Amino acid sequence: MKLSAHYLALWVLTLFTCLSKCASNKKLLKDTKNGNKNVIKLTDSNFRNILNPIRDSYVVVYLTATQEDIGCTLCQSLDPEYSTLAESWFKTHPDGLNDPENDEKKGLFFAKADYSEGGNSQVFQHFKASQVPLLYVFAPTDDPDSGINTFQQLNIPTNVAAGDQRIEMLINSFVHYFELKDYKLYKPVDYVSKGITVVSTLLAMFFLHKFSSAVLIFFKSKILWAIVSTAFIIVMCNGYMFNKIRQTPYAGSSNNGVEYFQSGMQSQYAIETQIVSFLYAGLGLAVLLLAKLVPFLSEYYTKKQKQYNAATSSLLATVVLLAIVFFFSSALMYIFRLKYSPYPFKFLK
Amino acid sequence: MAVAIKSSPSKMMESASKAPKASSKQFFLTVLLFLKLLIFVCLIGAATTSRLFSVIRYESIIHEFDPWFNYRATRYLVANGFHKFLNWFDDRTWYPLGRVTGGTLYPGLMTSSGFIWYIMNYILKIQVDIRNVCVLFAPAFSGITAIFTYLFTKNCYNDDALAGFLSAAFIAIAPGYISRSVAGSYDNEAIAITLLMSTFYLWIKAMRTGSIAWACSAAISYFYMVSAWGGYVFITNLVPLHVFILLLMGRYSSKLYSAYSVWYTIGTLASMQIPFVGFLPIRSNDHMASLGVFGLLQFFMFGDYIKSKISSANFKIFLKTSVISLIAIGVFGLFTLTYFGLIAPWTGRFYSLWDTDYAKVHIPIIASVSEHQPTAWPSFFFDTQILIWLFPCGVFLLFLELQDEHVFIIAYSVLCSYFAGVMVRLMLTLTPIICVCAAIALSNVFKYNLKIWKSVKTVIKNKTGSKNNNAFTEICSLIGKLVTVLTFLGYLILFVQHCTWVTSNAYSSPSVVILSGNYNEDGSPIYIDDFREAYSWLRYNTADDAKVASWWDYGYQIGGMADRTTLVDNNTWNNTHIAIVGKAMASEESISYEIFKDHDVDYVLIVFGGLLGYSGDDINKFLWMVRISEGIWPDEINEPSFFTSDGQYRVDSAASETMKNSLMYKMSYHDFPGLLGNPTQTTDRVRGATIDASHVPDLKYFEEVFTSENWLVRIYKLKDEDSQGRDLGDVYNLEHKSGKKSVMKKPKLEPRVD
Repeated sequence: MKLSAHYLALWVLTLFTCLSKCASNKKLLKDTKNGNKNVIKLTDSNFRNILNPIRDSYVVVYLTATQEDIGCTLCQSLDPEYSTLAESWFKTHPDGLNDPENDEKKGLFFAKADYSEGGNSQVFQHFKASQVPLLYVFAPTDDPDSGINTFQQLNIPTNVAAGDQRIEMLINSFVHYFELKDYKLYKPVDYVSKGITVVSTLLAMFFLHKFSSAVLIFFKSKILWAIVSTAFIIVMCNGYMFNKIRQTPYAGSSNNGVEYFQSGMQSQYAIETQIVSFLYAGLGLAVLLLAKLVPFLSEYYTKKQKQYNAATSSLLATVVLLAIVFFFSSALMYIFRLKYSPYPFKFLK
Repeated sequence: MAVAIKSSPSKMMESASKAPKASSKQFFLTVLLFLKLLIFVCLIGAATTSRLFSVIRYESIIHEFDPWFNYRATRYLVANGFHKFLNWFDDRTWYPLGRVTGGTLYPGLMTSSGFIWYIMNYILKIQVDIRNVCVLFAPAFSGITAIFTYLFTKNCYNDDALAGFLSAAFIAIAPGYISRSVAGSYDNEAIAITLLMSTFYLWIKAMRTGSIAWACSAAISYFYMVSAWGGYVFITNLVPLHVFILLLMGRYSSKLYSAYSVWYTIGTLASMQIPFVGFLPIRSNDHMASLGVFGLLQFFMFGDYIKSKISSANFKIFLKTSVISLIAIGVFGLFTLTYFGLIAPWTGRFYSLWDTDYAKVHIPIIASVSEHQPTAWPSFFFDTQILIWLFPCGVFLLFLELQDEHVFIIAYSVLCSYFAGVMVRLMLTLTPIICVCAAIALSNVFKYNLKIWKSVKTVIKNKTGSKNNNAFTEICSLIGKLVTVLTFLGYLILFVQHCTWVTSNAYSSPSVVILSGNYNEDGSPIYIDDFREAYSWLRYNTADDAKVASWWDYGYQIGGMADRTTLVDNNTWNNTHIAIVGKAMASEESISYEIFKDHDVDYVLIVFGGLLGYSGDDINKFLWMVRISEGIWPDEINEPSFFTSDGQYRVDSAASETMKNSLMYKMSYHDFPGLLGNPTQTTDRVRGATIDASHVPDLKYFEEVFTSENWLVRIYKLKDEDSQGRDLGDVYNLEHKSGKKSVMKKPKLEPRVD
């Protein structure tokens, strides 16, 4: 007798679920529309309701913390991507259902809990989240017992480039595992930025045309070109590209304060590029002046019949410039020795 | 040797200081000529001798990896003749695919050394081994480079002989160039830099004179360059860029037209004769710039002609319409041709120069080569020392005059300093121009200050006179000049010492033989000769047609030294094939065994530096094997599974299970714990990790057949398939469960502990 009562209860429950099935998808859709950008916002009060009922649809749950001082950079970069993910899905599936034409009930909905927004600590406790970001999926189920505690964790791809590439990857895995149709990355056209580009281009062209003579002078200026290209060379010969490609930290820290120079031939901090560029520029300038200014000074004063001035000024300039060259080059060698200790040559220190 | 090097810069100054004064013109010219010759002899002597450290220290031996292939190819050429060489199909590499070697290499280097060998042996009747020709090839050519650099600088910079000599002296001993041209470094670059400088020199000459003869010589030199090095693309783009900038600056001239047209047509036609290059010059986008500039020049020529015929108002209209339509046609044509696949897309290696993320994401095999890594600033300083800060100064000085040929140097400097920053390897092409610009800067400093003798004369003259004021000023300027000259002389001497030191310490190691840094009791250095030991073991103890699997780095060496068939080598033309080896190394033993058996492999060779502290070993390269094979089989190989749970690459007890079960790990640490006293633990000296016996699973499908003296090279043999068709893993388990101890033929090992 006890057994049959049990069966009866189950039967009633099944009947109930059959009725509520359609409601579940609709309810999720309603929640979605209420949420922000097609994403259901999970809070302490609603998350059991949303995740508990028997589903026809997949529900993806995303736990994150975007607040600045939490310092989860991955969360911050992933947040807009998750929105795009949801947006792309609802662009082609306004009801959230996979294939409504063939009367299929299966769908996909997105939910999110951002720790920074508060009021959802129970959600995080429920998932026993000790780290963020996390991605979970609740599969469609008929089993009333499975409920809220049966879910799977999804991998967040971190080894691909952030942005479109990562979204594509997530979409691909969703399509593959949930057997979805027509799920493509949808990017809303940003008319504002396009407009700005067009307007600024037109403005630039207008100004170029209006001040064409000034621009021409600018472009024909030898000295300007000379400065730009020498600066370019100096920067390039100082591992600027190394910093860019390897994304080296600006400076390091050690036990006694800031560390400016990383030891080792094949490594460097970004600040080293600046320091060494300064040294190169100083040295180059000194040599340039030595080659051009000194003869110029002497000639200039000689022409003015001031022999005394000519001699003293050029001698003074020579001595000063040579001193600069000497100190800068010894500084350079000193720095190099910091990085490569077996190097035997030095001037000072 | 040091004396020879030191003498060269000072000699230059002598000649320059002597230049202004001459009593008898005839006598003066003779002396000048004699001095010039003497300087050249000194330069060549310095260039050659400073590259001989490795021969003196070790022996006449081919270095590193690629040179071993070139050496092997040269031997084939010498033995079989040129025609067979061009049609060479090599079935002893890339087994079982083979490689169309004759059609996929740049034959310039081998042909040159084969030619020299032929002349020496058959015409001069000097019996020379081809190996010695190959070993000494690079030093000999660097002497020629110095001469061409002299000519280039002199022609480029107002016929300034002082700058020419300085630049020649710099290039002769600059470590940036020595790094690729020490004796034994028998690589394409050894000859390529010489040809680079000669082509540039001839181009400048052709451009200045407008002479067809010079342009033809430039084209021939370019052809030689194409036949020698893939980096010829640099010339293919730099010369058009030079012309293009000149056109933008409004410096079109008929000289420019004839020089470029002749150079381009003859050079391109000639370069297409190289089988490896083939139709690339008219199909690949790398070469399109030169074609475009060629077309543009025709247009300029035509415009020039029209201009002389019609009124200037009409000419303006003509100019506007034709420019717009030309650009439209050009862009449209480029797109359609690329769309229809008539012109090849830009090659991958080229992409990695511009979009630095491209290679990292798409082509792990490019990213894995250390030559394709970006350059940190110490490398620049290490390779050129004082020249690096004279370099921008020289470029600035060129801007002040900005003649047509100066534009060339500037374009070269700017373009190449970017390239060198992106790729360490291109430091080599930057070095010549650094030398040239630094020489220009220094020559400007010296030009004024070397007039010492004149000052001395006036001082003496004034002393006998009475004008006190003048004497003072003259002495002042004399002191100024003297101090400047002496200081820079000091820097130059320091530079020479720097170069000698760098060459001796950093660039003279053959990498096949390593100095251990310790000495025997009698003071002679201890060499670590494990590579040759292992290769000669292979040569004398394995069947002639045995196939050896190893990571691709060692393919050329196995081919050259052990003369055994390899699966993959440094040519890296087939990514999938490399990934197969990578997968075998990264998989479990049973899977690896299957892969290797499928490819007829008999032996597997790995390099293990854990005992010696040699950091360039296979465990450190292992992640690249994983990455490259993951690129092909993402389902089977997964990079994160080789890391510990917190994302570290570890080899000790914390290593992940996938790591411990990979073939590479097992082979590297097989029998390693218990080697040094402690029966269960030994420390890996590269990674500073303690390897415990319990963490190294037994090898079931492979058996150790050879381990070199310092454990640097370990060779394993694939066990024969079980006679009863059982799985070898089961057989091993069965034998060990039943207490039967397998008899291991272990070589007697005496590890060197220092």
